Amino acid sequence: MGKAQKIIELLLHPTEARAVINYKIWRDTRDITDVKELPTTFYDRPTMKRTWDFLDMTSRSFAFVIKELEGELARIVCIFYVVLRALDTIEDDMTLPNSVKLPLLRSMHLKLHEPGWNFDGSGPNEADRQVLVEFENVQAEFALLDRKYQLVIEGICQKMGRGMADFAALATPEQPVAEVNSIADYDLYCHYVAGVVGEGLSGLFSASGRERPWLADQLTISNSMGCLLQKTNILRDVKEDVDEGRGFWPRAIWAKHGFNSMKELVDPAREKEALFAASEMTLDALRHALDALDYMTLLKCQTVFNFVAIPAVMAMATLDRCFMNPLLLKKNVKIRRGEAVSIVSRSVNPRDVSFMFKGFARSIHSKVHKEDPNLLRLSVACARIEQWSEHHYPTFIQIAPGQQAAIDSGTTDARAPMYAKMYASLAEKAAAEKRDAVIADLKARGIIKPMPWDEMIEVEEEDENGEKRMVKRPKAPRPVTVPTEDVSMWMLVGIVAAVLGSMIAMGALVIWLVVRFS
Amino acid sequence: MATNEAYMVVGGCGFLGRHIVEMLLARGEQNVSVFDIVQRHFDSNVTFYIGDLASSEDVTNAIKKSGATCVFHTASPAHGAGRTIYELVNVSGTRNLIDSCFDSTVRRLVYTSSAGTVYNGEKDNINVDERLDYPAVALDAYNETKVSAEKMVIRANSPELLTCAIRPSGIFGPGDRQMITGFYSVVLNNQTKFQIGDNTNLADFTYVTNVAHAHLLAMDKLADVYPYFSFRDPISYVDASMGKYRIPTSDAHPLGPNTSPTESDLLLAQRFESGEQDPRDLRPVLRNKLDQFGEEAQEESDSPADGVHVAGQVFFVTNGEPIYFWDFARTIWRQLGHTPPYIIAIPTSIGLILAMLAELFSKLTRREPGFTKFRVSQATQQRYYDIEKARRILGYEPIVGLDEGMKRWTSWYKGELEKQQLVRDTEKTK
Repeated sequence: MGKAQKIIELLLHPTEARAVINYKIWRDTRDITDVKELPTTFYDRPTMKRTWDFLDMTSRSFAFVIKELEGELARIVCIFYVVLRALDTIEDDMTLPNSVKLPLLRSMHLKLHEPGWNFDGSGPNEADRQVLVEFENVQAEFALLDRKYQLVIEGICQKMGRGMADFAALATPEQPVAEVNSIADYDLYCHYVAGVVGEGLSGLFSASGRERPWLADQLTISNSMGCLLQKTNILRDVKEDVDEGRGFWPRAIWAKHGFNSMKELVDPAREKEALFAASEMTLDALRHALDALDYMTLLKCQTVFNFVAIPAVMAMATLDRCFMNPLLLKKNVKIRRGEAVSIVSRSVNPRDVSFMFKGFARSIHSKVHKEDPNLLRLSVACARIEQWSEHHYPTFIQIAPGQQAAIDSGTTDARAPMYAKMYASLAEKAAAEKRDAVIADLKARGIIKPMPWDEMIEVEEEDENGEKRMVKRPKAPRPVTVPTEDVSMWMLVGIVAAVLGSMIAMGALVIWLVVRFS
Repeated sequence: MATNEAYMVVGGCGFLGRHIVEMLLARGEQNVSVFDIVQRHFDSNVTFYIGDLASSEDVTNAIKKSGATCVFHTASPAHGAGRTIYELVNVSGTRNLIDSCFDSTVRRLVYTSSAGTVYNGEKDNINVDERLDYPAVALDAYNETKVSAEKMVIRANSPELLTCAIRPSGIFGPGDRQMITGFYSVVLNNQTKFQIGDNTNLADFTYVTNVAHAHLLAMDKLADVYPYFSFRDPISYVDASMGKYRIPTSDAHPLGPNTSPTESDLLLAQRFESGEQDPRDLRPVLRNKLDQFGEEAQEESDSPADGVHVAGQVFFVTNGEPIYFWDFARTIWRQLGHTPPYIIAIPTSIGLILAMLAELFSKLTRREPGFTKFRVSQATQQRYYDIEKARRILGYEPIVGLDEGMKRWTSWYKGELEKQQLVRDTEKTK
């Protein structure tokens, strides 16, 4: 795409043009080559520098978010990514016979412990073959990692390799690429090539200490996160895959729309049926959206959140762009650069991410064809994303940058008055506790003298049954009015001001805490 | 599984009541009675008591003769019956029933209320839960009397008589004679091409069998306590229409194309098929202070006896699958054999103006208005509910998904239409 065309496209979408400008001016991207960063990025080490180069070479989209990870996590995930890319390159290679490919996939995790190992048998047209040709660099860096990280990376490498080999083994000379048949097979394939990556990343986040230890055990939603990304790519890449003789769409989906093979999907004469099949692929991918949202609410480290959220929102944007889009069957549909930048800058907290998910769900829903066989299920799938968003982050709670949360006075949401009462109740309770604490502190420091009625003594007293018992009574009766000579006017003013200030501050703090950590 | 209790279904010949009766019989209950104003079903194993709910004597006699211990109160006038009827049945009738229960062997009472009790016609009910107060001004006379009845039932909860109320939203299914007729009349009037609003509003509809199921769960569990510690247990998303798919993980996944599985592989596959899940893999329940059960989840008691009592509660019950309103309408029409050639979207504000004009015209011509402001509100406002309370405390899950439920509903109605056509043809022949 030429520069002029890029400029034209930005001008056609002014809000996105502004997003690009904001991004260039204000975004402080981490520079892994900076001297200050070297203790964690090791960019000055030849083997690590080469590994960073491989990252840039093989992934324009992921490279950015990986480098943003804080501390050593960026380097660790970089190595993880490049190792898996090597595995993927072997799997993708159509020139490799299974007699070479399958053993290689199954033993790749062992090569991680073989200094100097590399592989130059990849086809000449394989885009990322260089990663394998110079794999000794990656291996050297892997060997330098902490054992806790090595265990995760090699474990995932083994699982992915075996899974890929199982599916690759289905290929025969008559049918060079294995087909995916059922939805269960499709899920399993996505688990092997993407779900385990989600598991691995969760494992690395936990091992680094930047996320909770139990995140590594959240296998289901980690897998679902990976599946959302993978299924989106499989949907989007349909034209490219068909042209290369590959097929990942499950037969269970396209066969019911009258197709006998994936090749037929790109036949212009049957565009309508193909789009309905694509619609069902989208429906299947949306199944993972709630898991993705749940996963992101568990994260607490900001850069990890960004790393996870950006691809997830990109996936939703891609599903939206591909939905009922005839171009899907003609070329690789991409989201516009301006839109991508806007997503990057907004993917910073679960609330905004859920709003973007909801926006894309509504957009998809608005394009559902009235004759789509899955109209009802698509409606339910989009609706549950909206419900998730409204459950966790009600729209009527507004948060402007630098301001405290407020309830939108123009909302028609029936819940708003109830929430307003709850906020007020929480703020009032917190303020009362604060006020009591302030007064107690003032007394303890002698600023306020204890009064005679504050002292308690025990006296003997008879109750109605004639029994004697000890009860507490004030030593002196409390006067009706506070004597003015005992408390100065300025002290009163000060106390009142302090209490009011505390109430306001505590109220704001409570609201901020509720919204920030909800 | 039968409980050997004696059941009385008040309104048992009505739409919902009939499904409750059938469910009781299906699980082998031997002692089922029906009280209704007219008998429409003639089961040999059901005792019928014909009477008027507004008559204290009729109610008392039926309750005593039946020896009922468990009563479902599903009786309710149809929309459009008028305030007088609403008051007689919903308010006086419910009071009569409660009084009769206290004076007899009845120990449990489940009342069919309505999600409309918290809807005021102006606000959007967006994912509301049971904390929402009744509106200061009821939507209409029908809902006003349903609120009164619900309050009576909950107030009556006591050791002698355990009570609760079920608030279903948009009940549909075989036996319905209101909702389906309305949607079908749009087909007859050739108006399916019109859409009011932009179809971004969600509505909850509930298949009738699921509502009946919720009633039986409520009755069976009225004496139970839901422990505080259970509020920290995760519950999965409703997948009745979306299909139940288990996500494969490293701990559990099918063999797939693995042709030489190891013992470990077989174990993983077996674990996947059995549905067994590692507790550590269950996602944590995240709640904030404003969450409906934020406080309950904070309770530290480990005792099963410390928790929320089922009795005295109200529960929203839906299919758990909110859907965009006009998608629901179009799916009905398509299943009835009609797809509009194109769609004309009318903005909500214009729709309201047209409705006002239509109502004015109806007044002048003294005809029943078909196009009303209420109908426009129904079609354009958000009205969906959070059913976590029913799912947790009652253990309720929709048995029949929206997808399947709508198919059964429209199939049944097509059968009804064919019967009507047959009757007309027969009369023509005479």
